[in-house]
Parts: sequence; C-alpha cells; structure tokens
Amino acid sequence: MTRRLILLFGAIGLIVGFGRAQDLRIAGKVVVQATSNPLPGAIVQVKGTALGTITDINGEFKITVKNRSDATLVVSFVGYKTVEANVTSSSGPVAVLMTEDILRTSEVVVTGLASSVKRANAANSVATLSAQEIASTPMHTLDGSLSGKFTGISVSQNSGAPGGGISINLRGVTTINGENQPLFIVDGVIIDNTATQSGVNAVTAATGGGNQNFQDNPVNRVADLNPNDIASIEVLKGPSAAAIYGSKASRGVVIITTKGGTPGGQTRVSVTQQFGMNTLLKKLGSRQFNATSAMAAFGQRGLDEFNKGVTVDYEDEMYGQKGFISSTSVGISGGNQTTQFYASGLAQLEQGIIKRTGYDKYSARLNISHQLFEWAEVDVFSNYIRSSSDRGLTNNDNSGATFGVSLAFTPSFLDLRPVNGVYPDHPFNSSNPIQVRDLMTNNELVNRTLVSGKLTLDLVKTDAQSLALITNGGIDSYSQDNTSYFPKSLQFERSSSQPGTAILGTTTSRVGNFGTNAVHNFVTSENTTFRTTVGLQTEARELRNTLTVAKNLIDGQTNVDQGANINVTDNITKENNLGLFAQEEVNLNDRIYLTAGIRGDASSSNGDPDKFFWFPKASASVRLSQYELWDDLSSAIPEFKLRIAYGATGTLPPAGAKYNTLGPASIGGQIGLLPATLRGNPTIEPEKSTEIETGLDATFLGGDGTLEFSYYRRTIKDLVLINEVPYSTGYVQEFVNGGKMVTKGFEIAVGLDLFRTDDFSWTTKFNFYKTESIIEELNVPAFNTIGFADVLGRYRIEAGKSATQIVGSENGVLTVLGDETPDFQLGWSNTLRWQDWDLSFLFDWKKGGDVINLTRLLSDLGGTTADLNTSAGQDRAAAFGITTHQLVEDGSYIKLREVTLGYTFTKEALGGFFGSAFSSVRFSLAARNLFTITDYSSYDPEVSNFGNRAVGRSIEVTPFPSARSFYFTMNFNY
Amino acid sequence: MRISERRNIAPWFLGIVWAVVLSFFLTSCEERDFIDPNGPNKDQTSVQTLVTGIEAGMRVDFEFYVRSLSVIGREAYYLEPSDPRYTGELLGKNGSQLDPSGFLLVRSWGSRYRVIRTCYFLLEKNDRGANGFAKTIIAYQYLLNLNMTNDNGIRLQGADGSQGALLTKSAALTEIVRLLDEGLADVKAVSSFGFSLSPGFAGFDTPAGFAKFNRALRARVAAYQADIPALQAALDSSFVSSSEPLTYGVYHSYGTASGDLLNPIFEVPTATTIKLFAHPSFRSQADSGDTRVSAKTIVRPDTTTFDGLNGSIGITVAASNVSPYPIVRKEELVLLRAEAYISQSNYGLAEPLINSIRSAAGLGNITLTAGNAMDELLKQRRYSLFLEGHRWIDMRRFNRLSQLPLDRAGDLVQAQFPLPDRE
Repeated sequence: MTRRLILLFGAIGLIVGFGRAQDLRIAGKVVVQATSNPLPGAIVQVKGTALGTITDINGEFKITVKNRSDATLVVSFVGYKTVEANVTSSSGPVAVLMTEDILRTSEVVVTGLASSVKRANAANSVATLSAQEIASTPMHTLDGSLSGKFTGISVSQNSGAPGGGISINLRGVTTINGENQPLFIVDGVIIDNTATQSGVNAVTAATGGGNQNFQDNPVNRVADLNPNDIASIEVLKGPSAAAIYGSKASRGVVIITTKGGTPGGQTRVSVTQQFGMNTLLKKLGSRQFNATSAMAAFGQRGLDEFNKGVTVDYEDEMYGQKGFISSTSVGISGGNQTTQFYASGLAQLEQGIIKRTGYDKYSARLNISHQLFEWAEVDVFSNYIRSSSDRGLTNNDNSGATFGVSLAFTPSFLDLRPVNGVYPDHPFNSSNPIQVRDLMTNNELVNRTLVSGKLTLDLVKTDAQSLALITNGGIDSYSQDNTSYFPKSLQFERSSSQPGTAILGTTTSRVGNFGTNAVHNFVTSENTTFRTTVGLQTEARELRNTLTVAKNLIDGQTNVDQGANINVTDNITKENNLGLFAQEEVNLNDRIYLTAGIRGDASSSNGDPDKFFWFPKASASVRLSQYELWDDLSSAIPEFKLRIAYGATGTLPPAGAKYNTLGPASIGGQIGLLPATLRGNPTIEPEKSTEIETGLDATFLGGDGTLEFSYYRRTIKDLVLINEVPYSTGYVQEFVNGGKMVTKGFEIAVGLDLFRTDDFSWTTKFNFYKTESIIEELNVPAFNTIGFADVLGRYRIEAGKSATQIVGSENGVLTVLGDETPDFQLGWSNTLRWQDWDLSFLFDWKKGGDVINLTRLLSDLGGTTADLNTSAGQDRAAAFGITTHQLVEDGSYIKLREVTLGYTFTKEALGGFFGSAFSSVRFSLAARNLFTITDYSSYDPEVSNFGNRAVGRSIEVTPFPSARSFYFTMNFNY
Repeated sequence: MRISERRNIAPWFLGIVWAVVLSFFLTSCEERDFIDPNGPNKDQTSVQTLVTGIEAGMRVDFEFYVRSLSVIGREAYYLEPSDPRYTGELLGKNGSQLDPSGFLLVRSWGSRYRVIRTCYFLLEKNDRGANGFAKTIIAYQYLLNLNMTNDNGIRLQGADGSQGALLTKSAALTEIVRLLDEGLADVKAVSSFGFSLSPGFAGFDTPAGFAKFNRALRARVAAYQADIPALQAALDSSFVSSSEPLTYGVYHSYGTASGDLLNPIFEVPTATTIKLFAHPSFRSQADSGDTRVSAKTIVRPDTTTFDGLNGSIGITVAASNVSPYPIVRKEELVLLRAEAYISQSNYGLAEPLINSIRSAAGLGNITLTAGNAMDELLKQRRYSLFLEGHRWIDMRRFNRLSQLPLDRAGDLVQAQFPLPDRE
C-alpha cells in the first residue's frame, strides 16, 4: 500500500508538471428535454477519467480535461436516463438533453461502504425506492410505506395499533431465533431498531403461562423516521450484496439516505398539510343468542342478562372510532456552490380506531453539506424526533384484561356500558373492556436524536486517478418511556390482592459508529476502472432497560413510588464491534464489472471477543448488449446483462449469550442470587450465511420495458439456536451454534412504460417473488419454538422440514398442519398521468401462508363467535383439544394497499392565484388498505402476536384490528 | 492555480490530521472483552447471597405445583378462561392426558432444578453448615419433583450441572434419604450457621433447629417409602412433640419488597373475580362442626361457571398476600405419627393423636378401628393439610385415586405427570 501511494503521488507531480499543453476546455448546459428547464445538480463526468463536476442552478457546467483533444461526457441525475455526449476541441458549448428514467435503469447503487456503481453494471439485485415512491401514499411510519414495493422483501404489520410494529423480512427466513429485522443505516450510521416491550405484561401476564416470549405489542424504532425526509432507500437483500456489512448483515441491509440541498440561488419551500381518518378494516360480527343458547353458554346469569333485552355491537363500541389524522410538514432546501442545506419539520397526530389510542410525532431535521475546499467536503445530518403512542391493551393475555380477550367472553346481550360513570362488572370475565379502555393508560414516549457527520477528502484528483478518504461517525441516542397505569377501580384490579398497577419502563439506547474508508480510483487509457476501497468500522451499542412495576397504589396516584409493592428489573445490553474491510472493483469499459472483497469482524458478543470472522464476496456482470454481437438486437433489447454474485455475512449471537449470570431474588428482606435460566455458552459464534445470486437485467421494447430476474441460494451455517437443555441441569436453555438452513428463491420484476405522450402516461410494475427455507441439518433435537402448546398450534424446527412449518396435535399425534411461508407474493404498482392529474395504486397479493387464528378459538371458548349457531361452528368449537387443524387458516390475501388520486396546479395554471407565490400546488386523495380479499376469518391475516419474529410470526391472539385509512393532502411548493 | 498548489500541500497536511483522528479512534476503540454487565458469575457470590437465593428460588413457579396438585387432587378448581388446560388436562377432560412439555409440569419442575444448581454453587463454598443446608434443600426439591412424576422417576443433577441418571421412584427416594442423612451430619458438625435465614425458618435457623426440619422431611419421605421404623425414628428427632401449636413449622416467607414474591394461593376471597375455588366436595363431605371448613373456605354470593364447572367457594387458607406457605409443620408430623401406628395396626396409640387433631378442629373424639382408621386418617389429612399439596399424593400412595370425585362425564383422575420430554 505504501509503495502504491508513493507511486501515486509521484504520478501527481508528473501530471501537474507536464500535462498542460493540449487541455480540452468544455462548457455546457444540461436541460430537461420535456420542459426545456435547466437541470441543476446533474453529475457530469469525463468517461475514462476520474474527472467530474456538477451543474449549477442554471444547469451549466465547465470542465477541463488535460492532455486531450476529445472526450466523452457522461451526464447523470437521479430519475433521468444517463446521457453520453462526445466533445472535441472544435465543438462549441455542449447542450445535453435529459429524459426521465421512469424505469430507473441508470441510477447508482451501493457496492461498498464508500462506493457505488451504476445499476446498469451492478452484479447484484439491489432494490431502491425514491422519495416519490416512499411518500406517494401517506403512512404513519416509514417502514409501513415499503409494503409491496420490492421483490424479495416482505413487509407486514404486526397489528393495527397506530405507531407501528412492522416486520421487514428480506428474502425469507434469515435466522431462527429472535428478530428477522435487517440492519438499518441512515446517512452512513447504523441505527437502533430494537423493539422494547412496554411492560404491560405485569398486568396481562401473557408470558406467565405457556409461553415465555413477550407479547406486549412493541414498536420497532425505525418507525421514528419521518418518511418525508427520505431521499432514497436502497435494500441489500442478501449476503451477496450485503457482505460489506459483515457479521450484522445476514438479515439484509436497508440504507436510507436523507434529503440534501441543491446548489443554486433559489431556496425551495414545500409545505404539506394532510387530514385523514382511520376506520376498522373488517367486522367479524357476534353470535345471535336466544334464551336457550344464552342459558347454555352463560348459565342462569346469562339468561337473566339476556332477558334484559339489550343488544350491544361491541365491535362498534370498541373498534368503531373514526380516528382523525392530521399531519403538517415543511421542507426547506437550498444552498450555493459551497453550502447546501435541507431542513424539515413534521407534526403528526393520529388517532386509532380504538378510543384513547393514537400516535403523535414531531420531527425536526437539518442536513448541511459544505465544501470546505475544493478537496474537502463536510456533511452533517441531524434529526430530533419525539413520538408518543397510546397503544391500548391488546394481544394475548392470561388475565382476561386485554380488550380482545374480554370481548371474546362478552355476548352481545350483556351491557357493559357505563351508567352515570359507573362501569358494570363483567360477570363472565375478569375485566370490563370498556372500563379498561376508558381508564387505563399505555403510553410510549420516545425522544430520539440522530446526529452524524461525514468528512470527504479528495486527496488526489487527476485524469487517471483519484484518492478519497471518507470518514464518518454518528450517534443514535434515544430514551423511551413506557408509562402504563391501571387504576384501582378496574374490575380486575379490585379483585387483586394489590389493587392498582403503575408501570414505568425506561429504555435508554446509544449506538455510536465510527468508520473511515479510503477509496482509490484508477482509470486506464482503455477505459478500465480499478477502484480499491479499504476501510475500518467500529460500533458501540448500549441499551439499558429499567422496568418498575408498582402495585397496591395509593388511590388516584400514578407514580411508581406510590405503590406498596414495587418491583424493579434492570437489564443492560452491551455490544462493541470492530470491522475491517477491503474491496477491489474493476469496470471494463462499462461492459464487464468485477468485484472481490473481504470483511473481518470481531465482536464482544462472540464467545471469543478478539477472534475475527471473515466474510468474503465476489461478483461479476457482463453487459452483453455492449458488444457487437448484440447489434442486431439492440433496438429491441437495448440493455442485456448477466450477473452472478457470491457473498458471506453473519448474524451475531445475542449479546449476553456467552455469560453464566446470576440474578437477584429476595426473601425476608434479604437479597440473594439465583442463576439465570439461560446457560452461558463461552464458545458461541456468529451465524454464517453464504449466498450465490445469479440473474439477468434487461430492457426491452426499445427501452420501454425492464426485466430483472434473480435466483438465489443462501446457506446459513452455525445457526444460533436456542437449545432447550434438560431442566435437570438447572437451566432451561442456551444458545448454541447448530444447524444449517438453505433458502432458495427467485424474484422477477417487470416494469413497463405502457404509454407516454405529452398528455398521458402509464407506467406499471410487477414485483413477483417466491422463497422457501429448509432446515437441512440440526445439531440439537427437533424443537418447538413459538406457540403456546401442541393443541394450540405452534412452530417446530426439524431437520429436513420447512423452517416455518406449523404443527399441531391431531388426536394426540403431532402433525404438520401448515406453513407460514407463502407460495408467492406479487406486488403490482401503477402510475398514471393525464395532463395535470395523476393516479397511482398498488395491489399486494400474498398467495398461501398459514396463520394460527387463536382469536376465533377464544371467542369459541367464550361462546360468542358469530357462527356458533351453525353446526359447523359448533363442530369447530368442540374439536378444540382433540384436533388443531381448525385453528390453522389460509392467510392468502389481495390488498389494494395504496391508491392516490392527485391534481397538480403548475405555476402557469395557478396564474395570479396566491400572488404567484407558489411554483406548484397539489391536492390529492389517498386511501390505504381500501379493500382486502381474503378467506381468513379474523381481522387481518397480516398479524403477529409475538412481534418481529424470524420464525413464529403468524399467530393471532386478539390483536389491535387493522385499519383502513383515508387521506386528503395539500402540498404547496414555493 | 492556487487550488493546484494547495492540492500539492494539502494531502500531506490532511494525511497528518487524518492519522491523528485515526489514532484517537483506535485508542478510544471500546473494549470488546468486558465482564457481564448484568450480574455476577458463581465465583463472585457469597454463602449468604446463595443461601438467600436458594430460599427465594424455592418459591419460584411453586404456584404451578400447588395449583396442579390441588386441581388433580380435587381440592380446588382453577377457573382460568385464558388457559383451558387448568380445566382440561388436569381434570382429564374427555380422557385427555397430561402434556409432557406443558407449563403446568415443567415450570415448577425446572425451577426446582434451578434451586438445586444454586445449592451446588453453595457446596463449592466448602462451608460445612451451608453444606447441610444445601443437601437438605436438594433432597426437598427432588422430592417435590418426584411427587409430580411418581413412578416415572426423576433425573439427578450432576454437581457440575450436567444431566444425571434417571432414577426410578424407589431409587430416587433412596437418594433423597441419603442427601437428608448427609445434610443432617453436616449440620450436626457445626455449632452455628455462618448465614441467616428468612423468618419462615424462625426456630429452625440454628444447626439444632435445622436438624429437626431435616428429620421432619425425612419422616415424610419414610412415610412415602412405607418404612415405618425409619418414620418413627425420624419423627423422634423432629419437632412433632414440641409444645408449640399445630401450625408450628417451616414456611416459605413472602413479601412485597422488590424481587420478593407473593403467597401463591392468596386471592381476595370476596373479589368479583377469583380463579382458585375450593372443590365443592370439601364442604359437602365435611363433618358438621369442623372449624377447618369455615377457617379455610368461604361461600361466595355468586357462582362462577367455566368449562362446565361451578366455582362458588373461595379459599381463605392464606390470610393475606404475604402470608407464609407451609413447607412442613407440626400438624402433618402428628398425622404422620398416627399413620405410623395405624400402619402397625396400633390403633390405640393412633387414636389420641387423631383425636387431638379432631379436637383442634372442634370435632368430638372417635374410636379408631381397623375398619375406619385409614379413612379417618386420610380425612384428617385432607382437612388439616388442605391446599398444602398432600391430598393427591395421599390418595395415590394408598391406591384410592378412584375415590376422588369426578365432576363431568369423561373426566378422569390423573395418576402422575409424565417425565418432561426434555428429560
């Protein structure tokens, strides 16, 4: 390396000293063909060199190529097709015309920690979303707006509670235990996406009986980001693309870039005001009783209640709120040649379909980019977020306290509505859900600060070479307060020996990142580019969760110090990682693109914290369409590329998996120690994924159609499994490396620019994907994972079987009853424009994929399911305990996820309105989940009682029902 | 032109700045080899913290043990709408069998072995008095698990935390006796304990007192072994003949301090919703005038119906949520003495013991005969030791499970839990 540097600096001297005789000075202007407007910020590069510049506010640029008499300019800009222009010393000012790149064949995608490549060359399938696509239809959280928009990426919500709880699975099952969530990187910094449990388990006791996994319906923290701030999202789906992120990347990487300013005099202001409404997506109905069935199901008390002759629609009562939505956001961007900025503010209020639930968010962002010198640029990104969500009390419980479990035991003839402020006791359940809803609190308040900086030093920049040092660092820090309060007057609290519960969960999280990379580009005269990247990254992560549960409260008091019985738990998750990285990329005249790289990672979470685990990668792509043999085809199929990529990544074991810890236990006023139920494993290592991906990318119909096909085969070895150790050892479980899982799948994306005239255009995209994960080896006995019991249906990890199979007891015999993994998923998105109108809609089809529906089982047990008056309903209810298949349902659905109709007033159309203040004004109407077609009998097959599980998502226990949302949006651009 | 000059100089300058930043970063790079941030390992513990941990741990998940044994033994119902297994498999509904991986079995079972693990950590401290405590508790924890699985036996735990041999019931009882005897020898070898125990051990927290507790457990094991000489010998060294009341004994303490636990069977008996109800037969089959009935149960104004069962009798055995729960107490020892005599057909010696229990319950004396002695003994055990986890075991060891009442057509009485499927 040193030697190469010396050579390199020697070369600079030569070039600077002798190379000025025949310089080619180029001046030009870049304009948008359709509108003839100048295009500021476009990237102008000299082909075959490392030279480049960007256009100013007038779309103009100047560039000097030394030692040349002719050159080829490559002009690119996000959202436009890349254009090449030949220039000689005799040509005058160059005019470059840009056309919109609807199908985005020429955008740039990430290939390394500090490098990128044009999509046309990329050797991986990389999914990207532009700001336009993210924000096309409103969604209260960023993660929720990704559904159905990619191939290979399954985005589904865990419940309908406002404020999130979204699971993002990249290419199927990527691990067995724990969460399946990808690594999120925002402006170069890894951010925390932990879903912290709220602590309401102290009341619901959901983990008290058959299942030790928390079910508090948590929010994963990527939900905090403001969707309007996002410039683009890139998703590295599998190890072959994500290898550069090493041992944290097996679950995929989502790279989020926030907006920046543009050079040029004019500051742009965009103000958006939105109003909307949430309504219940689907009603299940309730059983119609007569005197006989009321007596049979609820005894004499039931008959007495029935004879009062009241009928209450409890779904209306509990889930019938028309939740109001309001969102105000402002974005300001601008700057000059040396300093650009983007600032934004957001105030969002949203009510859920259950009274006293909702999600409020306030966010402020300032991004500044400053050119210190021609060779040094500083970028600073800062974001403050405050969000508050009231999430009600839903999901499983063992205390009868949650809304859904209460409703399952509430017949429609029972009137639980308050009379003069007095809530009747529920005679058939431990709580009156209306009382709980009206009097309890379950609030989550997050204050979060994301700050990161980047220093880019262009140490060397010549015709043939460039060397840049890119150093970035950042902090993601938040505090999360979960405040829950259950007053003494609640029915189940009055029954308690310690009436009144107050819960305070305090989570503080800090993720610090530091990384530095050197990127060297070398271009030969044959237009071959060599790019060498070396880098180093550290990450320090600490999350502390303190949970205080106070019981036996002083009347009317909500502070946790006002209880007679106070229990505190305190848990620290700490992880420090170091990564090294080197990569070489070779681009042969934009025809062949080759990469090879390796990443080494050491982590405190591994049994040996100093051991480096190595994750190599290699890939190649060939653009056949760039060769002469393609000449005959190039008019029909202008672009055709074959690609193959190999890569390895890892998943770290959970922090703490290696320790044998003793925890506190008190008796008689003394504190003692008891061993944790988790046995430490001092030799635990990361999971290792390797993936081979191959595919082809093509444009057809003369460039009006795109096709992307990818096939991948991923093998995960040393799966970190929870080994259920014999109880007689004194422990319950331990983490071990044992097992191998193979995931295969394919993805097809087809985009069509169906019509394009000045007045009318229609673009349509199909995203089809299918995946399948098989456990090939298992070094521990086959084991049951998520679920409650055999007779309630559960997941089972077994060699030779699908990783997501669902089993259950059929007459005492454990039988495979289904599989969570769908047969396929298909997203179909459309954008139509007619003059100043635009219409977009997105269908999401999931075929197959089973769900364990325990909501209906509970209402069967409660005698309130709508169809219990039929023999089919009675047979199903009677089968419980004997068979399980009746609980496992097909979760197929077709959803119209998004539909938006908008009208834009251009500056011309606005004329003198608003004193010509606005450059454009847009009004739109949008709906989310407008309709769903499904045979699934409960609220929504898109559900997860256990939150973001890699395996074990599809279990439903009385969730927060899904909502249908409507929005009216006004957008003013200044 | 100025820029190109700067370009020549600046990289060197920046290189230095960058090197400084990098070296700062490398030196401040956070430690990857740190100790567990959440708690000590076993070598960082003391005798006292382990003893307290063991005592506290004996109560963890104990509620599942009490509920399971009480429901199967038809002392109680646990009407829990959100978990149908309490009224399903525990009562053998429609012939259903007990789940070898179900929480009703494995929660308590596993927590007992966790206490045993802690006892082995304590044994590593080489404190003779603490050794006696540890061995006695290991024996007691094994006994509780054997009570669940009975003929299916139990696993031993290796001193290193490995899974030990699977013992048959009789081998397990022999091992329990060995541990109790060794524990007794250790306790007797010291004049004082270097640790303190919770208020539940009041009177039994010295080596001499603890030895009596050890022998009381030995007596219970001897009864299970039907080893009458051993039973008599153990009782002689226990506290059966102390002048203290029948409630005198060793208890689990409960409290509301952070990390402490609450009494496993207490519910506000008059609350709108309770889950643990006395089995109706407890009142209907009682002798009239038995004060234990009114002391231990209360008739509620409403009947709670679930899964075809009617709960109308609340339980008042525990006066509050911090009431202690008995491990072994004098009333049981008196009845064990009576059992010893009855087993030897020595009804004359058994009679005053039985009558002392009856008298304490406000009942008149009776005459014991070969014909009524065993029925009477079991009845007194049923009412004296209500909800203390004895009824099912008593009916099982005297082959009377078929005499337990069935509430619904299709119910059956489970004889024992299967061995957990992980064992």
